[in-house]
Amino acid sequence: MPQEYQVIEAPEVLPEGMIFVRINCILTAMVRAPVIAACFILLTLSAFVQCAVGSPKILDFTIYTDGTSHVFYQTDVDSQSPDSTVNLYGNSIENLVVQDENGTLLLSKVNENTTTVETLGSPTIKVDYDTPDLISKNGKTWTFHVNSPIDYSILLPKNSVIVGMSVSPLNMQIVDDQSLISLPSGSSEINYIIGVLGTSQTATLAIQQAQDFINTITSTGVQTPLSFAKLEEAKSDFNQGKYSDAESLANAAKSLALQEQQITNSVPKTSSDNLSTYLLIVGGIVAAGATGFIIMKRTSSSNTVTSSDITKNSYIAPDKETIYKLKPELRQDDKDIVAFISEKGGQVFESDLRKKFLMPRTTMWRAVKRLEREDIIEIEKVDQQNLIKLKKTQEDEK
Amino acid sequence: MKALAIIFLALVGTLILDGPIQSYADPQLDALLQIATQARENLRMNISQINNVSDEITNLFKQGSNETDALSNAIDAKDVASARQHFLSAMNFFKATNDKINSLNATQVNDQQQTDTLQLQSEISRIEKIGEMLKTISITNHASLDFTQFEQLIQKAKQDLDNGNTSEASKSIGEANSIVIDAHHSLTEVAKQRTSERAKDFTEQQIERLDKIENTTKNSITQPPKVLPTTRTISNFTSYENPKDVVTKLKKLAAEGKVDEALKMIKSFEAYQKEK
Repeated sequence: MPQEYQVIEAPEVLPEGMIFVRINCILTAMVRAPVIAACFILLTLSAFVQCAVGSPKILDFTIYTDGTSHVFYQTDVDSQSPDSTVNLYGNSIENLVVQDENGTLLLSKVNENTTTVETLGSPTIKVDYDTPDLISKNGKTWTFHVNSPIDYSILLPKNSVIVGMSVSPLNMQIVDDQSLISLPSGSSEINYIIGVLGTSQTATLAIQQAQDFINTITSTGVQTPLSFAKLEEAKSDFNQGKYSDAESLANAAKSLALQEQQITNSVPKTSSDNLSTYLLIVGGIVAAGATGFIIMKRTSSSNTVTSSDITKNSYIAPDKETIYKLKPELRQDDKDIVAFISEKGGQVFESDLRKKFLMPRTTMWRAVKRLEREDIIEIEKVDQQNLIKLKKTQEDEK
Repeated sequence: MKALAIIFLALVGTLILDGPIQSYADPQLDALLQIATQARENLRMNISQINNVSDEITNLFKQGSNETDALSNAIDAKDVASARQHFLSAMNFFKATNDKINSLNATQVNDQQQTDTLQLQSEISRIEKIGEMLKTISITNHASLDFTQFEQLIQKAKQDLDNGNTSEASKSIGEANSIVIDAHHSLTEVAKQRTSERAKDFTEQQIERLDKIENTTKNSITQPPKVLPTTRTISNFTSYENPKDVVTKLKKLAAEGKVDEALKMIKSFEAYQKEK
């Protein structure tokens, strides 16, 4: 039943301790509006804070062509408890290895589909094992099935092609000719076939890339007869099942297209073209100068730091080869990230990594946190941005 | 009121800006199209190898193909929800098509040699990865295990496989696998030895921690004792309600070298604390 409030005329002399408040002004009178606003801001920011300080867990599956899955699982455990029990995926567990965050081997005991690990104060554990229980085979089709409580990744074998999928992936990339797929939490099933079609996956990809590139440069007015003919050869070979040849031809077509573009661009232009080009360049310089002047004026008080500025300081980047040597178990995509940071002088912004590897924010954040846990990088806040720095190894310090 | 309006406007702005961050959780649309297209191309190839394709297979494949086209259109229109729907639908049809092809058993059976090679490649890759991991653990834990023979066997298996000698490759893989199993056992033994040392350290740390808690409680303002619904005892004379007793008992067990009992007690005490 809705309550009704009446405006009460306050008597001239109120008894001590009594306050009359109009209900329509309660927000501003009793609870200060800025306080409410601050609460809203905190609520809004809480999502970011949760993301930043939360303890992400990692679950990666590597699928082999013999139907075995290698499972890598990293989780936080109670450091005050002498042991912890974690779930395992599958009942038949082989080559189980449990380590703490420093790589110290921990003793563990498997009980059906759980393992009790003697953590003895370790806050984080890393579990590695093989299991054949996650994959079944029907005819030529393999089916991987898992019910995961968290988002996870799956690395499919080389020359495998997905022919069925029960959920939408979060992301997919090709790593060393293998499909690395990120999937959301929950039950999911992936059906794939291996071998029969050889390298059709990579050939399809190469043909697609060559076709896209040729289309792009053709749309700018560049004539591409040679690359087009080469691409047709690639398609023909693909249709005949010669996937390796098709892939090589598609790559050759792309290279030819690049050459054709360069040749077209190097042809001398007419004087009118040159004039318009000069005008454009001069106009551009003037516009850029004016914009730069305005920006400098406006931001004279703020200090915007870029990656190039940062690399000018005395920081000496550790050698990536030393990192690879010390961490041979690093995933290929993590190695690529390390290589990129190393090339950029040992430190880059996280946003630069996202741009380079075309990864969503969450995926890159997980990769960065993984490298941080491996003690390879450190994260610094610079102008509200994450600056990722390669950590000096003991060998580098020597 | 003007300031308040500005604050609320800023709030609205912040909430609006939250939108794009959420969109990172959306599937990468290109990945969806890539997966669906690859499935389509491969099934098309498979179907082309069948002599008399049934209408059912043709229809299923056609529907999957149409859904892939619709997926492509949805991606062009940046319609994420529709793209996801078409992707799942396309993959559903492709799976059904593939199942039908499988049931026909009409496609060419894999060449046995190729199957063996693939299996062996897979085994080499898997064992190599396990070996590398164990080697790293061995170095980190100063276990000084020698993996030279393992590495040589893996190299030999790879060469044998490249030369088409699958039986020799298989033999090398078997030997490499034995080394992996031995290394695993050795490392487990090392872990067992280290565990007793670590257990001792852990017990000492916990005693120190509980001692600190006990001292802090003693120094703080005296509060009336909490009445708990249940009271458990560790032994006849030690109660979980009194951390001092727990510390005394733990110290005694540690001094007597009964680390396992001390660990059990710590575990029970932690469980009791959580329950409380």
